[in-house]
Amino acid sequence: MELKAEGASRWFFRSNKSSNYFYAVQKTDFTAENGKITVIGGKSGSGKTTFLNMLCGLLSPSEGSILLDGEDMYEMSDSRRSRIRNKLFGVVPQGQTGLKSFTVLENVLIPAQMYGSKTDLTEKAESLLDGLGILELKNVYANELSGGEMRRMSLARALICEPQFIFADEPTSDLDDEATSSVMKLFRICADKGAAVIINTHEKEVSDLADKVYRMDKGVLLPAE
Amino acid sequence: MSFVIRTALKNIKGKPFRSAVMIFLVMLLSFALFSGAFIILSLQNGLSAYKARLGADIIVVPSSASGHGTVDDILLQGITGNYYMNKKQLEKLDTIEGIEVSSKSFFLTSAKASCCSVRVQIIGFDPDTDFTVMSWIKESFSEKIGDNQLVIGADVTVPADHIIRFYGKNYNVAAVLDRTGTGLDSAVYVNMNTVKQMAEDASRLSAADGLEGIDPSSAASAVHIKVKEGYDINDVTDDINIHVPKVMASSSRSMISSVSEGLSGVSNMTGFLVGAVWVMSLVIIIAVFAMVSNERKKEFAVLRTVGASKRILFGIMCAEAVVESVIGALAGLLAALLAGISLSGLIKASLGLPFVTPDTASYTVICVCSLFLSAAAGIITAFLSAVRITGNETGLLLREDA
Ligand SMILES: Nc1ncnc2c1ncn2[C@@H]1O[C@H](COP(=O)(O)OP(=O)(O)OP(=O)(O)O)[C@@H](O)[C@H]1O
Ligand SMILES: [Mg+2]
Repeated sequence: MELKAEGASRWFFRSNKSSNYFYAVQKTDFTAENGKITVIGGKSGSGKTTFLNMLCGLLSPSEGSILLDGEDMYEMSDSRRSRIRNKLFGVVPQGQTGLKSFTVLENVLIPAQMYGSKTDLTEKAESLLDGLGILELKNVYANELSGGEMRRMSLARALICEPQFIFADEPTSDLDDEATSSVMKLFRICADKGAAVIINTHEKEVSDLADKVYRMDKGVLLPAE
Repeated sequence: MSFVIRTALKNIKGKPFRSAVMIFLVMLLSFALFSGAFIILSLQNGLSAYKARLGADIIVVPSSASGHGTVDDILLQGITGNYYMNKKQLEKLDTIEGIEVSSKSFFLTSAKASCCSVRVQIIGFDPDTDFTVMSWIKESFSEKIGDNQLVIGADVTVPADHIIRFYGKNYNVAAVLDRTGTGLDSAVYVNMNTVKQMAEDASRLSAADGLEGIDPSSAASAVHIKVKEGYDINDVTDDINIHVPKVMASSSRSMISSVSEGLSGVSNMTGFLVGAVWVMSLVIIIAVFAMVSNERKKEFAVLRTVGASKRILFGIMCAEAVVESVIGALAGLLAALLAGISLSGLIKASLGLPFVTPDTASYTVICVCSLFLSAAAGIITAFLSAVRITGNETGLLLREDA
């Protein structure tokens, strides 16, 4: 499958001298590369999160379009787009995203159960948690986790349905070196299976392991030199 | 179990305080609705029972009765007493023009009877002229009430052997009257022969005051009058008051209107209170939803990122609201039912208005209505809040901190 941004931009209201809006992301063309790990770096506030959210169907572009196999994602019905995000996309949002009334294992299994799956993915979930070093926390409620533990939990949740597109917004920001490398190992396995992995990050260790690196600069996506 | 329901239940369990507040507020809604409907309906029942019970166009009592309250009070509260009109007054009354039927009754304030912890009021009436008492007999009772037979009000306990003792003699309970919601429910009715007998026994035992020189066959405590077609009730009432010495005549229409005035006052007040509770609870529910909506927004944004459609989010919020609202509505109803049953005597006494609790069918109707309406109110508020939350783009919601 092919995921592309065509002239996609996004502006927000914000008053300054000359206008009352500004572009968080300028018109951007981009193609997600299957089987590769793509990293987008750049300063805080440069528009990385905004861009990633547009790509994964969570934020509509102000201009241009996001095309999945040539079809505009934001022209689809909400239920179809949601279904695609559930089955084909794995999203790790920025920030703390545990559902607090659920245990770690339940959190991870949510995407698999949302539309009533027949196969039991508990074993797969446990092996993902094991790979991320938090298996012993599987029956703990999400509100008891540390920041890094919760981050790894939401990573496992994003990967449970074996998505073809993985969007991770600063997935390693509060992880130690060891945890970071286990996360990157997982991403590599996914890419080797053919998934397109797109990561927003500030961290050089992550960029070093990428196949392709971009830099976001004031809403403009540039190839890194 | 489907994902939606499971998630809703987990959320309810996971946020016990939030859920408890919601349940409590819906409980208030259904409690207020049920008890309001219960009171208003009971008053309306009371009024129609009272209207029907009065039956007469005019009621005449001696002026000495005023020591016991107004004629309205006397009939409404069932305050009877040892006051009597004499033969001369009654003869004069019979000469008034425009009277179709007049039926005398004789009050005997009783001593304690073996059956009752309170004093019962004995009312002697004349079955031949009567048009107000016998029409209220509950069961079919075709014969006329005979000597030594009792017809008792709805609140008088019927002994197992149907025998009540008065002044040393046993009497048979022949029939029970329907409930009127007034003090008349605790009265015992007998025919004139019987009341005469009782009065004699009472005098002999000196168990009743004010009976010296009173002959029940020629005296009466109250006279119920039906006015002839073509005569104005108020004119006849005035005539009686002018021409018959030392009596008070009162048209039952004016009594009914004063009762229904008091009743609509209480009904309006009750309606107002119920409305106030509803407005207050709904405002709090909306405020609570607004307060928790930040937390919810983040929660729902996360579900969206892993692929939940708006429909699923809606489903979760509504399922939560349905569970909480139904529990709340049931709890409120149960509380109101218990309160209604245990306090209806107290409410009745403190209102001083005819109060007849609804029958099973009306009970069922107001139960179902208050359940349905309060649950619906909870669910609709949740629904509106769900519309607001899911209206936002997920990418924007994700930025908001929980
Ligand atoms: N919903 C919004 N309303 C207004 N301004 C917004 C909104 N979302 C983002 N912005 C602005 O757009 C710019 C880009 O934000 P974005 O979150 O994409 O940055 P980022 O590169 O992800 O930064 P960080 O590395 O700190 O996460 C910022 O200046 C931000 O203030
Ligand atoms: Mg960001």
